[in-house]
Amino acid sequence: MNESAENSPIVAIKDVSKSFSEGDNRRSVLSNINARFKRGGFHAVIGRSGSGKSTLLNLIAGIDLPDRGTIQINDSAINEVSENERTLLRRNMMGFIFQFFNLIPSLTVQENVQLPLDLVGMDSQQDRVMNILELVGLSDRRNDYPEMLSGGERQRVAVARAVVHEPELLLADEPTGNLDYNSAYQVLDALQDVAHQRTVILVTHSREIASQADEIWPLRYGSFDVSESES
Amino acid sequence: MKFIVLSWFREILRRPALTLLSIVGVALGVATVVAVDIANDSAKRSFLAANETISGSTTHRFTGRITDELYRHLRVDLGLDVTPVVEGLIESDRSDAKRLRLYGVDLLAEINVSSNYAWREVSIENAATMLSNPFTVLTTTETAESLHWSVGEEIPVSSADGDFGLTLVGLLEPANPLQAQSLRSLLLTDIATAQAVLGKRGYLSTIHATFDESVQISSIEAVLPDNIYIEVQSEQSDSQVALTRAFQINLTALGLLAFLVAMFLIYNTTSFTVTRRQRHIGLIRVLGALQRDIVLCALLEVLIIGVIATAIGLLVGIQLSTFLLELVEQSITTLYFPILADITVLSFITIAKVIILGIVATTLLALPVIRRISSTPPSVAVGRSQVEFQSKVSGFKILVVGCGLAALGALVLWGNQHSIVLGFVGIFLIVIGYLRLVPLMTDGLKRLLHPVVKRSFGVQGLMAIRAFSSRPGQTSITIAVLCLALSATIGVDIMVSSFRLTVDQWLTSRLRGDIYITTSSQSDTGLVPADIAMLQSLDDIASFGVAKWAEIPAISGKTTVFAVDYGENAFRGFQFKEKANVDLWHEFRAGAVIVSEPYAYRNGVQIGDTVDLLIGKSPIQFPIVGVFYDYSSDQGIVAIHRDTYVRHSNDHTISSVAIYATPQSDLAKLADSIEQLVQTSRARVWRNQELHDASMQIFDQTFAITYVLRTLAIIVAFVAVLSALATLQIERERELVVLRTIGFTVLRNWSISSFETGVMGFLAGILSLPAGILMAWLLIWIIEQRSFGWTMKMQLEPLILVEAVGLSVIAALIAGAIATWRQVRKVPAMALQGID
Repeated sequence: MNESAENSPIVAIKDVSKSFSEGDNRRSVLSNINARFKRGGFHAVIGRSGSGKSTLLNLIAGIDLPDRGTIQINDSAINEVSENERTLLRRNMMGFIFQFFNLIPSLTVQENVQLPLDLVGMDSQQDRVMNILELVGLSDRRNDYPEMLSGGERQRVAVARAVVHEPELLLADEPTGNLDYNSAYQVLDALQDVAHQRTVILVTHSREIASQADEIWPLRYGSFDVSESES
Repeated sequence: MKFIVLSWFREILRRPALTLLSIVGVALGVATVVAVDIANDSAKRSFLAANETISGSTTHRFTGRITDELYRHLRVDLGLDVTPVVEGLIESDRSDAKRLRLYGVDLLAEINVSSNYAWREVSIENAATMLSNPFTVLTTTETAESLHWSVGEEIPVSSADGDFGLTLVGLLEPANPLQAQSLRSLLLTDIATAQAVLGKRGYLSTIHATFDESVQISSIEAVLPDNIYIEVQSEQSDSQVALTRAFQINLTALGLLAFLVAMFLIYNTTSFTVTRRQRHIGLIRVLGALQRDIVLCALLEVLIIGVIATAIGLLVGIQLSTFLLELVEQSITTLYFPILADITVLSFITIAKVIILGIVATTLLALPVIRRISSTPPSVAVGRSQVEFQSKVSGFKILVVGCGLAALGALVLWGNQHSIVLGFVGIFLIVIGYLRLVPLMTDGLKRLLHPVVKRSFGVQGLMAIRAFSSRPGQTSITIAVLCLALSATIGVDIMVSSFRLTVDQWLTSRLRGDIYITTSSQSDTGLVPADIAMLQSLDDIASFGVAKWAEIPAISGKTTVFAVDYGENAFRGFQFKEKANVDLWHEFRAGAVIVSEPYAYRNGVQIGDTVDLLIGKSPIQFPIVGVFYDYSSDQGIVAIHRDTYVRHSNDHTISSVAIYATPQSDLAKLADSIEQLVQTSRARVWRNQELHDASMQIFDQTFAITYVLRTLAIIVAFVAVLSALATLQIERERELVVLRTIGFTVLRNWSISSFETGVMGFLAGILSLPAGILMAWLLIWIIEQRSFGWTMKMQLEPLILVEAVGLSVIAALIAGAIATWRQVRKVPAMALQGID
């Protein structure tokens, strides 16, 4: 990667707006927002419930589409490519961690982690799966099904699954929101262990969690509050 | 991709009940189609194979009233290459199928003629033993073993003429497997024994002839007595098989009915699978699975269900066909001609058909749902609510599509007024059109129910109503499936019960005599004018009439003629569909004829037309003055006054006698006296009610297969109802568990589930009533008319309608109970976490 590419943002959001219909009305969730997430950093988007932070994350992942504006991931405008291309982009360069774990209940811990490798055609790399499970402290639970794990353990599996295929961009939607204090910090540690060299965009309502980030993006009523922006 | 597929199929194993119900439903549908196909094919093949084996190289056959004397004349005086045959069915308790075919031949003649008859190789010793000992038979080793019958042993058999003992004197050695199959259940005997057992002394069933090209058929016909005809053997077999076509198409359609319900079951299951899996699908889409990966998994699932269900259906169908074959044999024997279906045929066409239906049709039906699955947005995985996968279609569009389909169906029915297959296609389109309107009607009924439920059951009642309103698409599919299954059941039930009642009323009207003398078939009673004269000597008889059934050629083909003279009172028993504005009785006596409704339908004749009948040597034209309702033959009959018939044919034989007793007579005593008088003939004496009951029994036997197929459709429908409603409830499981955690008891949850499913079952039941009645009306006025030429009065029995609604509600309540049972087995906390 040349120097200019290294300095260019991994995610560039320009004039993005998003609203949802509620019966006969439309509710604006994001309003004309702009942001440039630097490559390699740990970014935290912070805001109260309903501020639009999860919607923003979904738009970055290409899970949802903006009403207006563009979202550039590297050089691709994710909202201007086909559904298939968005899926491939997500598959190859992103990892996603959900608040409610979203592990696949019919697959074991090891199989859940192996799934992204399977999708990118790297399913022979068993060592990588074992290493990552070792790293999140769950190698001894690899043959268990998700229902046999605690909340914290499930989220660590989700972290392992999100990074196993070495994505450039890691998106985490309230990854600790559903966990107790100790579990939350275990997950956060695991995330930091595996996330080095990668760009992480984490959405949270907790200032304490956000304080771990390199850059904080406060979101209020659908817009970034520039006055509270911190680096 | 491996893990996508793995996770997909492990999801099935986590909740296998729904998939199992789908497999059971489709397997039952396939089994019904297979069984009907095998039964139809086997009956046809058995008949043709038996004909081919026993008629060998026969080129022609003589039919009509054939006597021993005629045979002697043909063979001795004319020197023709002919052999006599006397055949009929007899019964034995030793036979699993009860019935055996007794086939009497002149073995010495057979051995001399140039044929490939199966018994050409009968040893001279066996032939001599059989000829020198009366009531002896030969049969194949296989048949003897199945009857536990050893050579030299006598077993009891019975025929319409009484009980006899037959002794096995030797075994036939079939030349090949086909012969072995077609000789199964056949007992070969000499002419005299067959005549004695079957009550045909002095008469033959037919005479087989082998004519080469040099023989002038017309010159033989010229010297034949009146009412004896020569038929080409191959044409005779083909035309007999063709008679059964309408019957077989109806069976196939009934078989397909069960399959159609099963098809909707698959559609329903696939739709629910989508809803149940949308979070799973959304999640793997977030992780990077493409739309085509999802399509592949879903297709694979449907294909596997289709393959497993088809394989099971094929095996079950083969087993079921044995049972259906007996019923088909019974119906064809009663309606058309005697057959002994003992060959089981699983044709390549049947296998291809079930593969197409069970796998290809199943997959095609699931395709629209799979297309919707593949478009599951990844956001479903991160959203808090689920998306209902039902395309949003406006009420107006639904109305247009529904009415359009129904109109198209009506157009198909109107466009071709004779094709049975197009008749079923038209009915199918009309019913599907109606089902398309079900969502609109469901919505309307729900609106009507809402205030009633609110007033009667309060918040808990409203919870149930709103729960199934929250997923209108799925609810509509479920109700439409129930409607289809129930309306089919109602339609067939009303059709059969209307038919039964019509026949019952028809018999009451037609059987005006107090006592009848007749045979079990419509053959010659053997009564002679002297016997009739003796009847006149009995004091208690006020009057009597005689009739003759005859098969004679006509321009349009062989025609059944009912030459009747039962008197004017009995003539009034004919119920006319159309009649000329004349004194019918007077015209009838003067030489006009009346034709049955099927005859008029099949031959396209009406009042004012004429019928050409070959009575005697040359065709005679008879004017038609009436068309009467008749359910004794679907090929139709021509009724003519007996005096007219005798005048032209010189045939004085009698098939039946109707006796009218004096008002003060003791009918039981009179019947006994008549029996004494006619005991030397093979006639049977019936009192009016006995004959009526026996006729209704034959009707029930003929329609036994219809009841079986309808029952199969009900079972598939029941599975469909159970599957659809149980799935809806399982979808709501989490919500019900939440209710338990806030203090609802299991009993209260059960009442909510049951109320909800009960309301759906009730709605489906109510909505199926118009569709069922419409289907019955179409079956009666379109299919019955096209298949058999019959019209009947539609009789709406309230019990049928109540039963249909009851069936729906019971299945619905069971579905509610299943959902509650699942909850009871769960710890609420685990259920709330989504752990099974």
